[in-house]
Amino acid sequence: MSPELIHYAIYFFLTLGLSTLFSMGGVGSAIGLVPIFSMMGMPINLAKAIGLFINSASTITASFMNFFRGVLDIKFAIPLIISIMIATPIGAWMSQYVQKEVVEWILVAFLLVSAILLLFSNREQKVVYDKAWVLYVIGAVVGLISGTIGVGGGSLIMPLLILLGFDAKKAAYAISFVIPFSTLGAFATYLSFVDMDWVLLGVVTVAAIIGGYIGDFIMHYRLTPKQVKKLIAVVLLLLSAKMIYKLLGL
Amino acid sequence: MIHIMKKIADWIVENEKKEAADCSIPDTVIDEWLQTIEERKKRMIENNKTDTQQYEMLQDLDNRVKEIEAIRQKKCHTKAQ
Repeated sequence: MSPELIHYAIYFFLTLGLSTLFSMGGVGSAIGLVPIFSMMGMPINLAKAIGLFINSASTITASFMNFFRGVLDIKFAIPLIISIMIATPIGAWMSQYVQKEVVEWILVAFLLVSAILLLFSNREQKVVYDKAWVLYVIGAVVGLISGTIGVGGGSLIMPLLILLGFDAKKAAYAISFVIPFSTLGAFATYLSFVDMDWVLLGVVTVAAIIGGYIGDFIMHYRLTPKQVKKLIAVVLLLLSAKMIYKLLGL
Repeated sequence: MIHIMKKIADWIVENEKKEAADCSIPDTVIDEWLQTIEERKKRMIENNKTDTQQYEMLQDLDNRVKEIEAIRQKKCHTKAQ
């Protein structure tokens, strides 16, 4: 087997594995893949661009399946999409005026508390949403924060929705649908200054689509909302570990 | 467009029927699936959207999942007794 083929195979299986795992919680796998790709020697901006596209490919696949299974409520996701799309660029603009490090530490604290609550709280409260403004507010807050510090919105909205009492599985279905709206725009921006490896992008996209399908399939047929909640908590712990690592300059 | 989507939805659920009828899947998973579809249908009824093709698509899915539930009832619960 040629070294080039092995190189692509490694990226394929890494993407497949992590996309499957993260799709089971309704989020993209870039938070895991970007640092791994970077450690493997890929330039960080290329890793981020590819990571954003992987997120889009796996969540679009998952949303496609969720729509046809009748479990994706687009009406629920629309306020989140609109507010995130408006608030994220504002957050990015605000980032030049706020102390990013302070916001990042607050966010780490929020992620850790959320993860602990998701792991240990057995609250069964279910909310039937009828007030779109709640979703607009959540989307706007998350958009501002994710724009300011450059973290994907999915991992922030998810705990907020669940802690507010939304069903974990339904939240995951909706967030999968919301993610591509923010990631595809960011990917386009990266494309303007990154030298893209198109073959690699094609390889990991196939892996992300397969991973998105398998992960979503497992979530839909094999996991209960309680198990999805635990899985999301693990994702949040990973994200906070990554942020602490970066903040401490390790 | 919706007609094509209905066909795709039919095809997907039909293909996944075998997996859904697997007795190792907890009943709660299928119950929640049905509940989600029914909640959406209920909202469409409240908004007077029952004459739309989207409602028709949900109705078809509802029937398909109920079919799966019936298969599971027969297959899994008879075995358990």
